[in-house]
Amino acid sequence: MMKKRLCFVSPDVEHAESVVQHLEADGIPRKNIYAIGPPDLPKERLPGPGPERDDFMPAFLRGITFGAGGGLLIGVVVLMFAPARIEVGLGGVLLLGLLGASVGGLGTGIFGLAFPSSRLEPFAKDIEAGRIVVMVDVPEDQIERVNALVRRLNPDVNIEGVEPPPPVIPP
Amino acid sequence: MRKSAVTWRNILLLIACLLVFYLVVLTIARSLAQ
Repeated sequence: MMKKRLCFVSPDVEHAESVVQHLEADGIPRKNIYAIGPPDLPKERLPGPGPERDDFMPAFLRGITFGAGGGLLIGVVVLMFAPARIEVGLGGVLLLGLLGASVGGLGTGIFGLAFPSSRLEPFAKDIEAGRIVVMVDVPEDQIERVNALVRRLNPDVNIEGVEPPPPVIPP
Repeated sequence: MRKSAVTWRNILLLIACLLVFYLVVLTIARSLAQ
């Protein structure tokens, strides 16, 4: 079952905490709930930011994609203009693609660790204003139920809906 | 606990990249040396 990441914007810590508690009571394991807010967020009361802590995953995937693309491109160029004494086959092109992917993944992945998650950009203003983004990974068939649960807790809560990219590799 | 799970995943992915890089360089170097 595919999981989707739902995002809610809570006005304050108390509300975020009660949302987390209700989600847990509803049978959602705490490891699937994440909270991100101002830096002074009480760590013992709310779950951590989980995979949204930094930009590793998006940057890593970007690095692999562009690295592989660049590597394959260079491979094709080498294939066309290789000096006669070096034999380059299709294998060589694929190898260069792999080389590019690994270098790209390494480089951008490490850089991504230093940046806040790019997927949180839509919430930057909320976090700046002291509000808390609560995220929860739920199976697709439970999305409506969880949404209703959160809305029942506070009719004014800002339900941001489903974040499109689910984690490629579950944390 | 979850914190370390995510961190470990990242580290393993980076190590996997390093391994692929090493193997590819090794393969290319070997074929060039022949």
